[in-house]
Amino acid sequence: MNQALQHGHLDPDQLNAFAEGVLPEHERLVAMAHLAECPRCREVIFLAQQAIAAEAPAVVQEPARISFWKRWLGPLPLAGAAAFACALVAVVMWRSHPTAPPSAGSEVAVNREQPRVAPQPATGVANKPESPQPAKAEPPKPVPAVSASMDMATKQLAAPPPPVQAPNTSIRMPEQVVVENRASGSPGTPAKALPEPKLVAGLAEASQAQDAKSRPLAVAPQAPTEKAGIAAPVPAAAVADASAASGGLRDQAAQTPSVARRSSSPAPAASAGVSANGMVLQSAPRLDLLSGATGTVTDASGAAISGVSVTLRSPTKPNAPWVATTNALGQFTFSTVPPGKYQLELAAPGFKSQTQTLDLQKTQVAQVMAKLAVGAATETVTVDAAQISVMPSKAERRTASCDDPLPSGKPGKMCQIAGKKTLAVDDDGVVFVRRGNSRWKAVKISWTGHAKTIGVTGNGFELVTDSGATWFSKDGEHWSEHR
Amino acid sequence: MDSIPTQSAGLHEPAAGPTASLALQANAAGRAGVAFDVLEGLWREAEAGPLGLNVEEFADTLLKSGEKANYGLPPGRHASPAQVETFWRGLRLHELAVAYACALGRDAAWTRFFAEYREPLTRAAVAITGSSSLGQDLADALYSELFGLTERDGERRSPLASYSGRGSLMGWLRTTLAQRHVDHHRKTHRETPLEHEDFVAATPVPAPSDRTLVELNSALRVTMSALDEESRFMLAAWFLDGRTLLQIARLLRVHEATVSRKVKRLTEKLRKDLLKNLQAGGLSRQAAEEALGTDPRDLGINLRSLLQTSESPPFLNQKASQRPDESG
Repeated sequence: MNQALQHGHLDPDQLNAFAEGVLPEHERLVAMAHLAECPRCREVIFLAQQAIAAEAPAVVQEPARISFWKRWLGPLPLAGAAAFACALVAVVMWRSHPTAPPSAGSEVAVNREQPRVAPQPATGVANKPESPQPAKAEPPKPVPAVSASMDMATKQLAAPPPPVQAPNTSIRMPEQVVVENRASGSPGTPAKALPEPKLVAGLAEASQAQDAKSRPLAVAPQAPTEKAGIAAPVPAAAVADASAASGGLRDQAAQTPSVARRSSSPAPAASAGVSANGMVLQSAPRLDLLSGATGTVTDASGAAISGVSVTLRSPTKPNAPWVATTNALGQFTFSTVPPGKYQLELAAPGFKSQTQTLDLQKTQVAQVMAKLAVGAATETVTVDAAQISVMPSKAERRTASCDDPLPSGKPGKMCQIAGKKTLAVDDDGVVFVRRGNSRWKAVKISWTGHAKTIGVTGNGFELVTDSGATWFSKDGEHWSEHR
Repeated sequence: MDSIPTQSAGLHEPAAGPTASLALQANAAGRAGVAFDVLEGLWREAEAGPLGLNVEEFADTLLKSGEKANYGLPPGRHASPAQVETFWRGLRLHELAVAYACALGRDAAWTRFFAEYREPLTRAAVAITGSSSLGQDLADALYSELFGLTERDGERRSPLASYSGRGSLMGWLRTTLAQRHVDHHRKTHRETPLEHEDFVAATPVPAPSDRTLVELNSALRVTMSALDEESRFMLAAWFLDGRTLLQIARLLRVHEATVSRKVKRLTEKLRKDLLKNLQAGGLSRQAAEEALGTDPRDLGINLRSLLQTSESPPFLNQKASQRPDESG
């Protein structure tokens, strides 16, 4: 050991204690002063510190073993986030770009499939011996993978209704309905045995799913026309369509989306089925037979009241009401409601509650103009139905072109419009057709017997003779029998 | 220098036993001024018994460590028994026992030392020398030295006896290795050509007047002497040794950004004080600014020696240099 160098220098014990910071303050200052003037001790202490830094990497650390599951499941959160982002973008794009109405062919195919998917034996279809037409069921078209039951129902709602359609003749209806209407032997009468409860339940589910996407409050597009009291049943020929009145939910969604929401409506088991690919399919809502109600709620001065809780309650199902809330303009809309009698309850804080009775006929949209009086919410004002006007539906307005007298001089029994063509049949079953507002032209019959009902299909007209034969035509002039 | 006189039976002969006689225990307790129970408790805490140390031997090394550092008190103060006990309990007792038992040549201690420190000692030596072979040689040389092969006045001495237990034993070994390496380097590389360290002035500047140089020398001495210990250490390590901010920060246990700020403030303060002292000496501000641009080689003083010269007493004579404020 070099003893000479020890004199006048800090020994290793002092240097190490200084480096490790364990020297008391007075000794630290002395050591610092010595280090400031002693390059040798500085070199020693810095070299020792350098050794510490160099020793650290020498400690070989075994690389952390990554477990099998962590290695494979590690990227899952990132992949999940990416998938979620893609789905979000797809939903936003789908929302902001309303899809074009599907082709008529696909719509018919879907509707044909639904009775097979959701059979309703309660209607006794299988026992009807005179079923004129075999089941037109086609193999179910593959459902897009992204569609779920909710999407399916939404698509059904979004499907544009046929231009003009008779409820008792349309092939778009489930077969059992068509058969039952034919068996009733009363052409022209509205369908009496519609599978409404189940269809409505399915529709309620669809509506609920639709509203679950938080559509904004609807602005009633129709202006009140006339006060006609409670809506009288419209003739069957005056095909009214509540969904048509709403302009098609898909098209309407951008402007006047529906607000009706079924508060509690369990889906019936018969209204749903499982497709071949395992997806739940809802039964087709009978949009062409549903009613609606829209209205405006104001106070005594005529100012619109927003946030009014509007409840449409059926006496038969008081626990499953439709619920809506008025928007900033005081408007509300129930666009897809089964026909029937309802209690319309209006409630708002600071106003007296009001209850109105509505008798909704199929294919009609009731127009409600309600005025709430200031008062306690517990007070209830009952309004008679005379104050409720019924607005003619879009289909009803379209039938105005059928009002022209037929060349036979007989009153028209039924009239249908498809595109620019209008098809009418008189009491004798003679069929006439015309283009636009041109003159009526008798259709050269190809069938035996007389025409019983006429209807509109997705791409033309449909005609059912009194013998039960069904004929189709795209232009109303050239007919071919469906076999 | 600390040394452990070996027993008459030889360095590696074990002591009489871990348990000393009552007379020895009373002597140890009397020297420390603390109760024997405290010493025995520290002896048990240090696990000195399995290392071959009895209570008296362990008390002996505790006393040496305490007296060397004055029990952590400033020079001139007398430690109370409580302060003595506090100082002892702040030591690394087990490592102190290992080092002292090794210095006494106890086999159990050497077995423990070999198992715990032999390999790290070699790694540290390699890190210090930067060479595997040189590091191995350095470690072997120190190992033999620690084993007590060095003799002085007929007695074998081990540097491990100088370990006081204030820092870690591994840090002490590392510092000792660095010291040996520096000493060896200085002995073998004493003659270094100056031209390798010198630099050429970029542009020749006119030589300042004699009066300016005199004023500059005086101002430098005054300014440098006004710096505190830490500032002078930082300036020396930064400017003279060329240490990095990280190295200085590690040693001072601060963040390197702190060192950077301090060095910057120090240089600014140094320049400002120099200007102030130059102006106080009678120079104008412009002349003082020009004087700061003087080539250091024109100065009659050595800036390195000036920076490294302080009025503080030598470290080893700290006991004699009692600060006025600490003489209480």
